[in-house]
Amino acid sequence: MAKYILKRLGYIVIVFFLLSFLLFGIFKMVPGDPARLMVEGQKMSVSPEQYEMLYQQARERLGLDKPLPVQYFSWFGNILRGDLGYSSVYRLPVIELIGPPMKNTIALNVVYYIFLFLIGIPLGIKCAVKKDTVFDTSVQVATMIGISIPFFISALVFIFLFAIVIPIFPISGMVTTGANYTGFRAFLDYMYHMALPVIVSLTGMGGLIRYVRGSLLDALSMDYVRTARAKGLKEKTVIYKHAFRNALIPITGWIVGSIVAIFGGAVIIETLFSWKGVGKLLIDSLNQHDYTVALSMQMFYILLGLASNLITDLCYCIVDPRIKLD
Amino acid sequence: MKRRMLALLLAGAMAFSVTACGGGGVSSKDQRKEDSKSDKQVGIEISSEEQGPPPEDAPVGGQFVVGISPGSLTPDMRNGWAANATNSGFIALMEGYDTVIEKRDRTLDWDPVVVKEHEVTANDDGSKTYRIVINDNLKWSDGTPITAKDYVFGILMNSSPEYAACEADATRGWALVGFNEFNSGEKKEFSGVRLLGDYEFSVTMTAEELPNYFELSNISYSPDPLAAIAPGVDVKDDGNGAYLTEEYTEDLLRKTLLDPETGFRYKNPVVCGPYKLKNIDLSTETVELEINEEYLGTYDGTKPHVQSIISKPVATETARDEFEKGTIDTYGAGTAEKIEAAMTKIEEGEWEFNYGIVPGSNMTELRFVCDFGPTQFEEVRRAIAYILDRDEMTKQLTGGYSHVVDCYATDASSNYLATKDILEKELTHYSYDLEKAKQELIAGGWTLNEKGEEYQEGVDKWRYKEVDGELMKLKVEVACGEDDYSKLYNTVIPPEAEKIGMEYKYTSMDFALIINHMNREGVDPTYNIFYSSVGVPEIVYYWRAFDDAPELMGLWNQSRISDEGLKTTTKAMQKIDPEDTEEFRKAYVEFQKAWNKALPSVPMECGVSYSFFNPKLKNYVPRAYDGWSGCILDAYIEE
Repeated sequence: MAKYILKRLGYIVIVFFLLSFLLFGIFKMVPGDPARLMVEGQKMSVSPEQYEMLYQQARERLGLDKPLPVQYFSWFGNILRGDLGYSSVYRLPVIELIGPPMKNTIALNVVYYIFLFLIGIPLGIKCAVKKDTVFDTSVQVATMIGISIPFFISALVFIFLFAIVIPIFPISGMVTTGANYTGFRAFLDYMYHMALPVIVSLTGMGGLIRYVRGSLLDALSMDYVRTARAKGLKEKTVIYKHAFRNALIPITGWIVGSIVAIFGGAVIIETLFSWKGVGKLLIDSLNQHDYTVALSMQMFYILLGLASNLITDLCYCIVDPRIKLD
Repeated sequence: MKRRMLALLLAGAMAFSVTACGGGGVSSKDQRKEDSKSDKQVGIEISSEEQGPPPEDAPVGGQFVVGISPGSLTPDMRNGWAANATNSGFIALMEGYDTVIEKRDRTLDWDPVVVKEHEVTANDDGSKTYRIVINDNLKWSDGTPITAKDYVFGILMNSSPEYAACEADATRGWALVGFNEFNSGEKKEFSGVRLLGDYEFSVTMTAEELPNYFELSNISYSPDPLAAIAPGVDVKDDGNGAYLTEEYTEDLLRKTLLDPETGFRYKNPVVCGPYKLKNIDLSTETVELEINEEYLGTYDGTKPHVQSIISKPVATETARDEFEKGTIDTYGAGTAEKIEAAMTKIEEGEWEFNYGIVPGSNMTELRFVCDFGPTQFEEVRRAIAYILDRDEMTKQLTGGYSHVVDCYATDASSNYLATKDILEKELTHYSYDLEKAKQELIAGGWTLNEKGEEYQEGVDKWRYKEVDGELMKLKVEVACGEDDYSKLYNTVIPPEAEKIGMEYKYTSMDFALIINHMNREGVDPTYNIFYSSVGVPEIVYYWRAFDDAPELMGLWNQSRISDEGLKTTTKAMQKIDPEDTEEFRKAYVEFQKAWNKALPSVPMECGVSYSFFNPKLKNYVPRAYDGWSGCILDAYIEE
């Protein structure tokens, strides 16, 4: 196992390096000059000589005055040291820029995933057990509708219904404006504002429900389940001790993948609910050609993705003793 | 049954368990209904002419919630770094005591609250020295007095290499003598800035910046708190110009300006404007300002009356609902659809809000590049203007909520408004007329075909002209975005261009690439036209914007136009005495006539927006150029 992990870690280093090279190259190929964008607003407020000086300073600050290989190794070296670079738009170190939205994204996603698993897994199990009943069909239809409706529509519908027609939730935002709550009251206020975005996100939980249902149905059709039933075990024991534990193997990938997804923002939800998260920051950075921010965030997600692949494989090994890692 | 219910209950659990936590902090719809029972006047259009200071007995108190675009708030609470439009509204309310201010009628003048006396001396070398004595009763928000050292420190710090090393914009003193030497670190003294006493200092404007009708705009300086930003540093003057003592270093500035918890860039703890920062929370995009009790008022005695100003991030899609619900106090509608929807609610009595109609200070244009290709010839530029049905296109794009102008101005400009009647008679209103377009081309020599023979309509497709012994094809290349405006222009214009023998080719591209092409950054001149939206501020250095000096081309002179008429008229504007508004407006008319003939761009439209606001806001007058931050300073709240 240790040998396997070391080998995979080695792969991760190589893939990370190659992807960093590739991504850096792609971002550098994108037309546009971030230094020029940085000083464009000062074009008509200083003399031409001073404008040129500001432009050269901006190039220097962003490291664009150096040859490309030097830029790459300088950037990559800084990434390894935890220095994610400098935002040309916000004129801030990227790490300072990402902090607050990342906190909000993680908070939103953690709550979302807790409810997703608390609701989705039991519902999936129940659907599998009650296959082809009215309950199962209703859930399948409802979840299919949920999956089919884009978030930007369901979000607006939910806002209309639960914030305007029946005003039990705020329309958007993260805190009650001007309330200045502190302590536990502030936490409750934060959760209150989070409720509607989480509920809207949960309309897409059909994927998990169907996945769990499918996995469990596969497991329930296995011979060992028939044997268990033949032995006279209680149906509850058959389902949860024999079938579900085996059904968990494919679900493990889902759950581990969620750990990575916790750090990922949802642009539509963040935008419509004015929830300051990393999804919108990433999109804005790309639109504004703030490549350092976009590149750093991409590298972060790459690293998370690679790590989660390894963790998923290790988890498979743990939940299914038949799987041997070499 | 229990388990069956569990899954469903879980879905609703969060929703209902946290519902009880809501409420508080903002006015509600019910509150507004209650308000309407009083004699409150609602549904009224407030004219910009009604603006003025609040009445003397106006109450102080209340809260104003302004909606901001989600994700737009940067950490900057001070100018100099990356403050954008969102931040600027808050920053503007924390700044004040400029030596020169723009008054309500948009003229520049010395602020009597700040300047006790001033003296202007013309120097032999063409420069001008402004000696300024400030009043001795000005105070920072922490109660400490504001002296001349704070003003001099403001100019020095904001022009210093140490400040630039903190990634800040160190160009405040750019128009003053000795800036380059000081800014580059070559000299420790800023020779154009003198400290003359506790409440007296002077600045000398470089001869290159004179004459200048707007010269006062370069003498508008605000103070910076020396003791708070640079503790231990002193401002001195040994006769060669003011300088900062050696304790002033980049490290010191990094500590006092850039510390995330206490730095002036992020917390701006000592200010001199009408408001001070109470709180900023980037994670929730909340900024809260409160009244600065030490503030003496603007030039006309306006002091803040709204106790607290708070931001709330609001998505465009839900802004109207938020406003209707009362969680934000203003709502801006800039498109026909939004304006009409809101006005319908006002007219039907569903909305108990007031509103103002605000002329935009931006205009959309087809900006020509006038130094190469066919668009270097004014006949081609005018021919293009004649193949456009600008009125119809504008109507389609804005639903009638904007109009076409024929000069370099918008309805927000005071000079334009003052001369509008004359200009409307004098200027050519380019409207769709293919015959006139063809006549322009013929007059411009576009009379050949690709073989160099005479162009025959219906036989030859494209026109040519002999330029420097070679045939030039009448082909214009356009760089544009993918917005609605570009789409309409690109649908309508090419077939019309073809009718007059002109090939009109467009390329949609990213904004950064457009900027590259405008600046000719690593690319050859390719595009003859850029679709753009250009802000036309009240103060424009026309004489630079239309000067064809090589160093100004592409920077100030964005059309790269070299036109005698424009140069002559703008140079005349430059030399007019800053106090002679009448003369300036005469020259302004001449300039607009020259512009209308040379046509460096085809102005397409300038629009209006409707600004709706909660009727609890009294004396709140939406107007051009001033955003919410300008209006709220006049306002007070009656709940």
